[in-house]
This record gives sequence, C-alpha cells and structure tokens, in this order.
Amino acid sequence: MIDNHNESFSCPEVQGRLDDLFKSNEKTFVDRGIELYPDDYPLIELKSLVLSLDWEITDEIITDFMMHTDNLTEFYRNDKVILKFLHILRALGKYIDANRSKAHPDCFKILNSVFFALDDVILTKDISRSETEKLLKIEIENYKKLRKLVSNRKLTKSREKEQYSLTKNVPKIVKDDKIDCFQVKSESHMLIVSQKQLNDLKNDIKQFIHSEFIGLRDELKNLK
Amino acid sequence: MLNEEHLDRIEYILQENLIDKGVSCSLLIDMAGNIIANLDSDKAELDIYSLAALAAGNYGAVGAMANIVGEDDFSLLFHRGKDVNVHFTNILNDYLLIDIFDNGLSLGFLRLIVADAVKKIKFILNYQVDK
Amino acid sequence: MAFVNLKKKEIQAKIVYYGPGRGGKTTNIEYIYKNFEDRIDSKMVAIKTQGDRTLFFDFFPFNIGRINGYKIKIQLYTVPGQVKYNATRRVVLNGADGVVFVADALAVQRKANIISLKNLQENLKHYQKNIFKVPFVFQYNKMDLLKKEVPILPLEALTGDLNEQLNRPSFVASALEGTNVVATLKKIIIMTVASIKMSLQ
Repeated sequence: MIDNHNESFSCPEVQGRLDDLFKSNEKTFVDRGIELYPDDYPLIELKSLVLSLDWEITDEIITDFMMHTDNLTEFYRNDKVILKFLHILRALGKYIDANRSKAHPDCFKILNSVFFALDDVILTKDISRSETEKLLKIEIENYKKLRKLVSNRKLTKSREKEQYSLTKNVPKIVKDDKIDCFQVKSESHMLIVSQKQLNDLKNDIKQFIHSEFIGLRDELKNLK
Repeated sequence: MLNEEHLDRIEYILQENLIDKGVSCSLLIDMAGNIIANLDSDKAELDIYSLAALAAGNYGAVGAMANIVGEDDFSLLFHRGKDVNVHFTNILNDYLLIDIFDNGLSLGFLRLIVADAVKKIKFILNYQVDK
Repeated sequence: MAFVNLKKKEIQAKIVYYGPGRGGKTTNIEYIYKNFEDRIDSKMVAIKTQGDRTLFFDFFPFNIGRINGYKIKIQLYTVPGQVKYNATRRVVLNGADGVVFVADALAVQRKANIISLKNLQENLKHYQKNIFKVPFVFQYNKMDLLKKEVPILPLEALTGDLNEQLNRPSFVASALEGTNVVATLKKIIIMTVASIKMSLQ
C-alpha cells in the first residue's frame, strides 16, 4: 500500500527548502568582473587591438591599430584633449612598428597606460575638463620619460658603436699582394683579415643561409 | 655535442636578446630536462634544476595532448601568474627555451625578442648539427 | 642521452625508477632524500594525486662529485605506475640513461610486474632504446613483508618472470626499511656513468 502520508513531505516544505537553497539572485547579468559598455562605445575596437598587442605584435594588428587611431582622430577632431591622447597612441604605434623587438620594453606599458587613461575619460560620465587634463598631463609626462629613455639608449648604442665598429662609411676590402690577407680600409680603423678568416666567414654565412632555407622549406611544407 | 664556444655564444644571445631586455631568467634545456645554458638577472634565486625537469615534463605532456587533438604541437605555451610569468619555445624539436618574466614586460614584446633570440640560437645549433 | 656540458665540465645523467603502481618507486627516492638530505643540497619534487600516488613524476637531483675532471649530476625520476598513466611514463622516460625496475614482490602483483616490464620495453623502443642495452638494475621490493607472513613471490619466480632474458643485476630490497635502497642506487649510477664514459670515447 502506498503511504499517502508521503505527500506531507512534498511540495510546500520541500519547495520552500529548495527555493531557499537555490534562491535566485535578482541581478541576472551585472557581474563585477565584467565591464559593460554602452552600445556606442567608440573605443571598443581600439581596446581589443591594444589587448591584442599585449599578446602578439604582428603587422596586421599594428596596421589596424594605426587605422583605428586615425579614425578616432577624425571622430574627435573637435576635442583637443582627446586628440592629444590619440596623438600619443599613434606615436607609440609608429615607434613599435618601426622598432619591433628593438623597441624599448617600457613603451608597451606606456601604451596601455595612455589607452586606459583615455578609456577612463570616455567612459566617465560628466568628467570635468580639469580632471581630463590632469589625466592627460600624467600620460604626457610618461611619454616624455619614455622618449628620454629611448634617446639615451640610442646615444649609448651609438657611442658603443663608435668605439667598436669599423667606420661610418662602408669599408673597402683591398687585397694586399705582399701578404696573403685583406686589408679593410676605413677612416678610423685598419683591420687585417687573413685569407683563412675570410674563408671561415664565408662558410659561416653559407651555413646560415643554408639553415634559413631549411627553416623556410619546413614552414612551406607546414603551410601545405 | 656543444663545445665551449657554442655555449658561450648561446649565453651571449640569451644575455643580449633577453636578459638585457627585461627577462628575469632564461633557460635553454633539452627535452629530457637537462640544462644547457641558463642566465638570470639576479632578481630571484630559483631552483632551476627542478624547473627544467618540470618544464620538460610539462612540455612533453602538453605535446602529447596536442597529438591527441590532432595538432603537431601548440604554438603558444605560456603560463600567466599574478606577478611572474613563464613562456616556452620549442627549438628544433630538441630543445626548449624557457623565459621567466614579470609584468613589466608584455607578452607580445617578449614573443618578439624570443623570436629574435631563437633565430640566432638555431643558427648555432644547426651549424653544430651540420658539422 | 646524458648531457655533457663541455664548458662547465659537467655530466647530467637521468635515472628513471620504473615499475607497477604502488611498487615502491617513490618510496625508494623518498628514503634516499630523507636519509641523505643533510649531505645532498637539493630538494625533492613530487607531483602526486590527493591519494598520495605519483601523478606526474618525482624528481631528485644530486651531485656525486668529480670523476675524471667532470662533475657528475644525477637526476633521479620516478614514473607513475598506474596503467592509465602510460602517456606520462613515456614523457618522463625521454632521455633516460639508466633504469631501475622496482618489481613488487607481493604475490598478487605478479602479473602487474610482467605487464609493467613489457610496457617499459615498448616505451624505451619509442625512443629507439633497447631494453637489453640500457643500464638496468632490478629491485625486488617489499621483502620486509616476509616477516609479516604476507604472500610474497619467491626469488626464483621473480627472476624467472622478469630477469631470465635480461640477466641484469638485481637486489632484494625493502624500500620502506631502506634495505638495499642505496645499494640499488649505487649500482645503477655506476653502470650509467660507465655507459656514458664508453659512449664518449
């Protein structure tokens, strides 16, 4: 016989327990970790490119980055402060494009800093002019520091080059008939290179080209 | 076998292309977990022998996973920490370059400088193989 | 393949402890680590499951000093013994210069020993290594259970099952108590170093 008293464990009490246990949160979509942007947020594409640059620096990403900064420059042509932010971003983009792995490591930090400052400016409703200018000033200072670091680096490298390199001009290689060697003539240095050293150098270059071809061939095979 | 000159050159590449550009520690190991060359910026003292063993095991395991899903290997192997990150690069399927860096260096930039360093290291390793 | 660093004058040799699950591979390494850690200035790394079973590997490196001007660095590894971890075992076996096969002397593990040895042979083959040529030592572990009257395989059975063709040095041991743990290790190190020396000549 089925025990009808079982019904006393059914719906109302159990339901209540289950409702308490699985009480749904009225907030269905707003989560602290997720940023919600207005539909017309103008920096969305640029943001994804800035984040992409953090992961990988490719021609495509940099080209798109430059293109979007140009578009935004047009869009904000009447806002001098925002234009300045974009101007710095553009300059950084150009620098990274031109230098790639030789770029100063800090430029990526500055790029992110400038972008997120701009992001704050755009997203903060009713941000005052003075606050905007304050944020801009900080980023301009950061940018100037970076430029100084970059120019100091260039100076150090050119001094090192002067000390150890051969010449400003392309050195001429002249065979000296008296001895079995070549003389590299330059304004600052005379470097005697023996026949053997030159042959070794040629072999090294050949080996390098050979290994590069092997690498290229493998890459082509993989593409197929 | 890599002689002293090759190892010196490899260390020079690691120093000039990676450590000097902000990488905290750079290790070149073989796939069995043996350390071939290692350099660091003195920022932290690490147990590099355990790190090398674990990295080789980790890379091997990830490679086996890649095969299961139909890939030869995964092109990006990178672990992001709160403050410290680790990046792995396969060199000629026989070696692994492990780079440890903090958040002062962006991953994108690290990948560029690693690509440069790897190109140079490959030249030395290939040259050695051809010899 | 042992790595020889001509610049640092250092040889790094990898020795892997292999065998069926719960056979005593980790116990071997733990014994060495615990009893000699004051003399060996390095840490043991163990990657285990929550059930304290080896998940990936145990690792313990140490130096044994200079031989013929070269610093010898031994790297001990264990593999996870459970059957399902074959892919991991294969990964860990990469570059092994010497192997210790820790056979479980428990009677109920007779089949597991044979399966594990066969598995080792296959995994070595994957790296073009021949089980007949690799420096190899057998350890017949858990002999302490004889005192507790637990059914243990007789030595003849173990040798017959595992070592009849290979004919390698073997030790009767108790990793838990430490009996012949060091002797096993010494033997495999000697064999491995000798093999490396020969390959360098």
